Amino acid sequence: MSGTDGNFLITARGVTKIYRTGQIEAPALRGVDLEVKSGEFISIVGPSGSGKTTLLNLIGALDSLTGGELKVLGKDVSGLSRRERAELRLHHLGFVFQAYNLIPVLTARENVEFVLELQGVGRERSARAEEVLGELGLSEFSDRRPLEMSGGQQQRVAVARAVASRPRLVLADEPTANLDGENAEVLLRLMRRLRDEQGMTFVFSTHDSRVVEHAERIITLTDGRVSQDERRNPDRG
Amino acid sequence: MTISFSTLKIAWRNLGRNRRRTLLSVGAIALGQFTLITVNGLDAGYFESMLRIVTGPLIGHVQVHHPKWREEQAVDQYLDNLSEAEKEIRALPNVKSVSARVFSAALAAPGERGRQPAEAEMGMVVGVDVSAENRQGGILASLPPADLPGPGSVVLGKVLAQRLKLTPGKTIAVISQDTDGLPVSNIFRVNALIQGGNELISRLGIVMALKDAQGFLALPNQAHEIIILGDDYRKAGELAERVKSLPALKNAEVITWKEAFPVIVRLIGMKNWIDLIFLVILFIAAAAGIANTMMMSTFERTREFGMLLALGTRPGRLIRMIAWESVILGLVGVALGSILGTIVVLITSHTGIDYGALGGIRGQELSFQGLTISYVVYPKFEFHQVLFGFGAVTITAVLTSLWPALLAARLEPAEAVRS
Ligand SMILES: Nc1ncnc2c1ncn2[C@@H]1O[C@H](COP(=O)(O)OP(=O)(O)OP(=O)(O)O)[C@@H](O)[C@H]1O
Ligand SMILES: [Mg+2]
Repeated sequence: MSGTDGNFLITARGVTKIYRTGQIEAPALRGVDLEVKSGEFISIVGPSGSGKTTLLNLIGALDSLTGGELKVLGKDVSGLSRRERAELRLHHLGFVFQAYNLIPVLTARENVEFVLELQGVGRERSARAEEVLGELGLSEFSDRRPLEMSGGQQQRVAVARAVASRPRLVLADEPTANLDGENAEVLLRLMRRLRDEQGMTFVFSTHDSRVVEHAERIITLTDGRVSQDERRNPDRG
Repeated sequence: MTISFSTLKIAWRNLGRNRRRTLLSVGAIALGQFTLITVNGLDAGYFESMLRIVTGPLIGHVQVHHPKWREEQAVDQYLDNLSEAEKEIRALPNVKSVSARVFSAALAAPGERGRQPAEAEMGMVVGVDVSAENRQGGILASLPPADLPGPGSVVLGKVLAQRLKLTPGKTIAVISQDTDGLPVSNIFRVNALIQGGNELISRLGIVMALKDAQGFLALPNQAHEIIILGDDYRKAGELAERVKSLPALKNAEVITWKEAFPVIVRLIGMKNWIDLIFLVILFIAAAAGIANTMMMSTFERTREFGMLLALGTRPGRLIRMIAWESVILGLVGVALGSILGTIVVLITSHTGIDYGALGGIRGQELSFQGLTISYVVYPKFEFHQVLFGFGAVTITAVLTSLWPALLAARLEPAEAVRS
């Protein structure tokens, strides 16, 4: 996609989000400024309730912001209709959630095929799905349904599905929350490899300090604001 | 609308997630469709046999009488010039048979004195076309050729014969009046008794050949009733119109079997209601089964739908996925019910079902409005009932899935994946 804002994949200016339930207002984001370049590998951290999920949902065009300006892949997401947001997600973004990523009645390959089908990929989608799973070393799970895989295996398949159409930006909200240390490690290495080989940009939230180790940039949210934004050289164990 | 393969595949497999629940609604729908097909097949068979009897030789497709005959049934309300009238009717297209009857109230007594003399009894002289009435459904249907009335002989209704203590081989004295009101009498030999059959005939019938009756009553070329059978009872109306325009029947009353036996028309109307009632029951069974299953299965999948929407699945596709799930559920049930129902109806349409035995009744026949109807019913397979069932269930399935489908499609993906 062209027209990224001065090479920035994401630009946030004073982004606010207030949840309203009846009379009660819950401010979740109180003015977030952020710029993300193509190819970054970013972790969002912060205490529970600090707004990590909210921010990822806004960037992922899953939700609409209350105030401020947010551009994702050059598009002003606040101006998009529900349908346009769905199109943006489908064609340009990849998602990995904490759990329940996969359609339970479909095998790993069929899950990958499903999003390719949504994107309008034709007959070659089966081969393409197999190829993606193969590249990520997941071929042996091709014909297994989610319930026949471990949590770690399911999350890796979810990553495969998220990147199958080679989106420029992959968003992951606590992708390792249900995994043990070893499986979390494997998942993060997989994501890093994809960034290194294919230049995809990853933004993921986490509570796990070992997972944070893998990030090249750590954005800390506190009470709905960016309280710290540090770049570092991750250990490449 | 294109139906993508994966939409169907996902819908189908989703039904396997809670097998028990799925089987329960499939069973409910199958039972509904089974009942629809078998009950309607049963009463279709029942009504068809009733119609066959009603439109048989006894009542015919079209009847011709003197205009006052049906009200008063007086012996002098006859149709004149019978031979000419019959000739004209036979010349009409699609006429299969024409037969005439004469009737006259009579007193009957045994022809010779027995040891315990019986009283005279009320009877009815019925002169008939013997060969026409000997066919299935006719007044003389049950008799072997040797027992049929010939010159000078009659057959008696069983009840009348019992009252008169008469048995075949005895003689009977009959007194009646001719059209001028003058008494006529004669002695006839009793050839046989009519078992069952028409109730009126059984109680009163002194059945003889038309020629004999005409001679006895001095009605040489007259009759009280002409019975016409066409090739199709459904075309009785057209036939009646043509008969009405015949010169020899200018002043006669021409009616169809529906007018001669109006109760049957009401019964046919009732069958349509019965069919409708079972269709409605099927609708309700399907709606309840499908709605329950679909509601539960969509509500417990909120997260999954949220995930699908988050990936960029269009709401329309989600709706189709859920609707297909519901339709497949309905179709599997209705197909199962159709197969079972069809098998049962087809088998019993050969073997017959003995209603009497089901109700603990021994006899083979029941009498209805003077007609004899067998207790053994041969159900009739009606394909349109299967189609109605499929249609009803498909519509119900789509309608009942709409509510959960729309709810799912309107989910906010951010909310749904968070929950
Ligand atoms: N739908 C909602 N309605 C009202 N308030 C909400 C809603 N979603 C989130 N919030 C509130 O917004 C704030 C930010 O929530 P958010 O889920 O973004 O935090 P988080 O950093 O992801 O937390 P955690 O680490 O526990 O996942 C919280 O105070 C939360 O209670
Ligand atoms: Mg969160």
